[in-house]
Amino acid sequence: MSDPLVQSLGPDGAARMRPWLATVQLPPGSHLLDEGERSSTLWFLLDGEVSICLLADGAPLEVSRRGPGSWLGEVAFFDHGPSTATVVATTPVVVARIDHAELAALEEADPQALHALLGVLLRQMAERVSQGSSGILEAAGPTVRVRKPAETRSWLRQVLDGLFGGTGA
Amino acid sequence: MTSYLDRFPLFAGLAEADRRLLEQVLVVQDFPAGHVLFREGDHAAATTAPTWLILDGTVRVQARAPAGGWGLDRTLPPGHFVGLNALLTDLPRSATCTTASPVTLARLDRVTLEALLRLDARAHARLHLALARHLAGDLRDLSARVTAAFHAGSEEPLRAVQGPAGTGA
Repeated sequence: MSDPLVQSLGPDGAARMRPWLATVQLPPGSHLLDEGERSSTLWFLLDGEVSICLLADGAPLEVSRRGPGSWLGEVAFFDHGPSTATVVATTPVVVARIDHAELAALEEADPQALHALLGVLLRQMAERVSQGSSGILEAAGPTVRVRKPAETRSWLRQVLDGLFGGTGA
Repeated sequence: MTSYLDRFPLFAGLAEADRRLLEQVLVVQDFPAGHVLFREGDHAAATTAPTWLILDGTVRVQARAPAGGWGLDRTLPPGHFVGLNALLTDLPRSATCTTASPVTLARLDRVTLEALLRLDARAHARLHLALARHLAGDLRDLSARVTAAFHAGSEEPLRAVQGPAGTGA
């Protein structure tokens, strides 16, 4: 079975980053992130599955599911704002994590490791911004067809899935 | 003496020394009004596809809506940039950018980043962290807009013809 961290960062990047990542096992139902709460942790899913949910009318609405090889919590981690979604383990999961203090230490001790990590994350984030922006363009323009509400929600759920790192399918 | 990069919110988190170092590797160019910097759909060579920082003058950014007309049409002043996607991904250009006036632009591309890496690996890492903060902000804004539309069951919040403050394109 291939190593998700090697698949994500390449062999050299994974070897450089591994000493800086703490690995932990969590049971189903564990919250990695809570919408609206500040987080100083970047997560990497090594095994298992998580559900990404938004609060809708006070109840959680799933917008995406993610599996091994997924980075989670990037937005709150890099812009120091509140988490944009709740991330919950739907199975037992094995996750690696790094926090702000460790990232600062990494920047000083091994900038090449940081470069390997950021190269991957920047590409993924830029792709999500691009695809999300293109998705939103479907609603724009003077001659756009007006969708029915149920159709709108279905379409927007796909856009949200893409924004949160899914395929947007 | 101040750096011309001081006016860019993108680089606000960088120390002055890092901004000065980055200035050393950027190439500044003048263009007349009406010059097409790149077109929507263009596939550019990965290493030399530019991101343009606007130092003087204005640049118009336009992207077509699938339903017809412009889904994105805005003019950016100094302190903004266009074409970030080309620096970070292999995606085609998502908008057409044309100089709306005579302009002075600074060119940032992957060759430039390599030059910065050779000069100072830590400054290179800090620049990538600044880019990550910027993209995190874009993702936050996009997901907030789409989520608001989802909760409303309406595409109306997405219909304004605009775009993110600093565009990927």
